[in-house]
Amino acid sequence: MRKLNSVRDRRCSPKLICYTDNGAVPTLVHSLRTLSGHHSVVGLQRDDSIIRLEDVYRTFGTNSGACTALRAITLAIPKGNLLAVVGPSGSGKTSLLNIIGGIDKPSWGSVRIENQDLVTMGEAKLADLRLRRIGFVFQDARLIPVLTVAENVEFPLLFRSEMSSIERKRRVSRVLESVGLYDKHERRPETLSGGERQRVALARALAGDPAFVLADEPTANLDQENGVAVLELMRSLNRERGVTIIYSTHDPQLMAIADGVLKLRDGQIEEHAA
Amino acid sequence: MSLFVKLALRNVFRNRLRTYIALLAIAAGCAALILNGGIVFNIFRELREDAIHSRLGHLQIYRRGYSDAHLKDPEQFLMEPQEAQHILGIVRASRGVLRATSRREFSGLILKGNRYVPFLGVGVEPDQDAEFSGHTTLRAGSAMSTSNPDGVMAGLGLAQKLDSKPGDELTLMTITESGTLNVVHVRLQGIFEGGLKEYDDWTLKVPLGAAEQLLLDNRIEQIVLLVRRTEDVPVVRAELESVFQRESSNVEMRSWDQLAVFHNQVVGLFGRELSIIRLIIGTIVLLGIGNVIGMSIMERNLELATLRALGLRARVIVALLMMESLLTGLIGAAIGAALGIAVARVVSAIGIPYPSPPGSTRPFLGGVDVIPNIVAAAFLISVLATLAAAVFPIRKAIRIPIAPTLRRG
Repeated sequence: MRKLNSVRDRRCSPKLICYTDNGAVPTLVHSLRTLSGHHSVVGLQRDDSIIRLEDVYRTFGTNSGACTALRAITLAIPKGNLLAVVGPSGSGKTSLLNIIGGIDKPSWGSVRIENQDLVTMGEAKLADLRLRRIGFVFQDARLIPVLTVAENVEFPLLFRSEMSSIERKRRVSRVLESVGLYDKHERRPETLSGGERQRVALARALAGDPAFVLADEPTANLDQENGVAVLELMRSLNRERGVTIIYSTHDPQLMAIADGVLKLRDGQIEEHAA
Repeated sequence: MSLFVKLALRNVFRNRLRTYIALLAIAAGCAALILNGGIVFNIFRELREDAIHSRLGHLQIYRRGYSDAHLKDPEQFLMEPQEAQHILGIVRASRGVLRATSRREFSGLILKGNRYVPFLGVGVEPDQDAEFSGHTTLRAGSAMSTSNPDGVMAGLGLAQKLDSKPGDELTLMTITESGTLNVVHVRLQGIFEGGLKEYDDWTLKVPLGAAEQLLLDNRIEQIVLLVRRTEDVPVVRAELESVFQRESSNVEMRSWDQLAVFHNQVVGLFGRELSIIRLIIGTIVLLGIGNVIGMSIMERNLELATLRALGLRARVIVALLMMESLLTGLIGAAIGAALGIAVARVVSAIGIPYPSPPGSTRPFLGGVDVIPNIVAAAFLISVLATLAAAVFPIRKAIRIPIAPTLRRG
């Protein structure tokens, strides 16, 4: 907390002025927190949380061009949870997932993953954390087109020095079986349907046995049927493996399968429903 | 093959057209380096062999101190016939030595009719001279032989000054060691062209016996050797030097490269030119493929950001992209080396007609030598240029922020 305070003090210098989304009313960051009205605190008391965000702000740009994507986000996500982050476009879903995933840093506030402070962590350590503890599923799968399905799943594991080649192959087979794509392990991504590609991406995210998986609108490029199928798969993997999955969506129909729903609006938590 | 290398290799051929353009640029650069180096080396070799097989031989042996002081007091450094025979016996016993002969250089005047022309005489063993004059062209008449002890050969320029033709009688005049004027009558047996204009303008080859009669002296000035291969000269020299040292012989040796001043000047000049050409070709390759590699990296920014999001460190991305450039360089350089060698063989089979080099009197038919060191250097330069071309785009690629790139994707 001491470190956090020192960061806060620096950030609160009169030079750092944030603008509200409509860009009209400049105000100091701490004033913004106070003025924002509801400073959401979700599940902070829970001891089994693996992700803890406290008073997180994310501002892009400087001075008159600045916009605040996240403001005063405080939340704790318990282990084994299947959490849907919902909200309209521009509500801050991707910014939140990027910060939780350690691929972006907050302008303000504290982010802890399994009790490790991401804000003060160096780039190399952050990369290591992402490699070992976090799985990512992107909107359009983002598989490497020149690798086969199995190779795509195996590739990130190559950089886990503790893992032998046999162990890697074993994990790839197991995870591809669990997403129902073992029979297509030698296929190239372009020969798969969109839903299958997203399942491969899910397999890649799960192969390293991460603490949690972040899926940024994983069904956005899929039709309703495939979207539901992918989410059903995520739910079953969440149940079977106990892996924490946080996915974002702007489709209200797809939030039904989640254990909890985190509603964002204008970068703030509007509602958190269990 | 590891998955890492497999990915790098597949990425190389991801955009085939662009890869072929890059490979073509690298291969062309590599082949150009091999051909340029091969042509220059061929010219060097031609000049070298001209000097060796027309005038100098591979090695020359004199009395100790000759090289430094023979111009001041030439008589002091002459070998007695027995001493020369002893040394000839030693060098002929060496397995690396192909031929050995004695020579005596002197100067004098040639009288023909009422015309006096100065000359530089070289007393040679007639039966050995042909072996030591492999690159000498016989312009008229015939070569010297032991059966014709007064038959001499004049350089083309000297013969022109004398206005002589084979069969003409010449009178040679010189001052002997005792200071008396001596004269011998000889017959012009042949006219030669040795490749170096100054040599041809002044040189008269005289059988050693006739030279002894003229000089009233049977001592020998130098023993000239030919070894089996020019590349073996240092080895043969070291071997002979150790023998002479063991026998406490009062001799010293000089190799052709210490004596061939003109050759060394040409090599110095063209060697510098070759380095500049290498630099220019390396730069052209670098600029030519820099853009191609830059584009192939830039268009994969989203994929690279994804890999970094998945937890690959920046240095792993650098290693992957460098591996791709290395593979591109290796493939391009291998194609270039094969192409360069093939073209060199074809060109050498056809021959390149060259005009006379500066100072020389003869045009020659050159080729392209395939020199392993030049091929290796061309290969290395091509690969290094490819790697260097990738440095800037890679630096740029790993500095892009992950989150905004993914967001834009």
